[in-house]
Amino acid sequence: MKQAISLVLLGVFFLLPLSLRAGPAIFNTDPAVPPVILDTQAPLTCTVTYVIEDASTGDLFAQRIRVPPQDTDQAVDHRLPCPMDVLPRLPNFAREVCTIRALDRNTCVFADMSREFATRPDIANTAADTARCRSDTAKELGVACWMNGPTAVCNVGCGDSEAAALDAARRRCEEKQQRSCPSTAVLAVTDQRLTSPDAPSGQAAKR
Amino acid sequence: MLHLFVPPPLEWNNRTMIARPGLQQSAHDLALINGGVVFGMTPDQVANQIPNMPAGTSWNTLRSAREYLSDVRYFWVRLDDLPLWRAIMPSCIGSASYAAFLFTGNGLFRMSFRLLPDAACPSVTSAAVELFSHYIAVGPSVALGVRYRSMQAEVVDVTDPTAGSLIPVRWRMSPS
Repeated sequence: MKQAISLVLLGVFFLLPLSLRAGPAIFNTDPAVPPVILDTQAPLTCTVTYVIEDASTGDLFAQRIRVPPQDTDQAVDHRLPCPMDVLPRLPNFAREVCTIRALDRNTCVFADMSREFATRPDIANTAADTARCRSDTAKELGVACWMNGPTAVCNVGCGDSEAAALDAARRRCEEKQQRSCPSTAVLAVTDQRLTSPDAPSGQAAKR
Repeated sequence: MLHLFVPPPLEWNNRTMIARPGLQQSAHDLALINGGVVFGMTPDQVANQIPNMPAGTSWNTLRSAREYLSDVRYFWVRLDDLPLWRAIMPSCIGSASYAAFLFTGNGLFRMSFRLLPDAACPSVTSAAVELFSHYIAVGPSVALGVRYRSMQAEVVDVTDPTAGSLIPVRWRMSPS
């Protein structure tokens, strides 16, 4: 009897389409995604995303830094808090995305700039604290700029939707720079994926 | 035109107070997006990964790269003859554009993509941005991507992060 059942099960197995017969799944070969299983129900770990510019080329880099929770941290609205004592330490690490690539590290600046930056493109005319968005307070990061030759003169805005983040960035840029800021980009603050319908998605910046 | 690149995340370590790569990446990740070519390969190993390369490429047959003070040698291939890399760049490039594969005695340490405009393609910036974006997905602990201009050329260098003093050397286009 047992043998008959085994034979029937074996027969059913071979009748299955190949995709259902597969053993171990092929790991995602995208280098940006590690071969691990993510807990999509877990609250969002704090991610702080900085926008850094190489002023010599106008290239902008969105550097995400994940900050793991401390034991006592409680999620609010499914988002873990970004610890205030860690935040001041992050800008220099974020800036490295540019300084390791630039011939002159002084051309690497934070992409939230004062109006003086257009005439004096110096890091002193940029601000680290406002060139970032935190996942505990925003889902999307927007950047709005005007092009001064090859250099982008930019400001950053945060919001819970792409439209809100872009609007905040554009308003800030127009107010700071006293001119229109037609070049914009937006991306999710965190690359962590959630299953909720309003979860941030996508890694690539949308222009 | 705004270019916003998104490199792999960093992860803060509460104990060491240092931000480190948030993804564990290795030479395998580079090989996956680079046609099997990884740093440290000998000239003939690299040539074997490239379609239609004539046999017999070796250290002794390579040209000297004069922008370096130390003994660095290279061979070059037109990008139109490199279908894998050409496919990364949907935008146009001039027909004289090429990739240089640069070696020390320790093997391959840099790939230098030199995109040159011509009458049919007066701007190669879009192609350079597409290529640079491709390599930004691999963290700087595995491959260090750099984009810069030299006269009318757009250059994307992808360098072994352990290459030390060779890293900051840039190619300069000769005035024609």
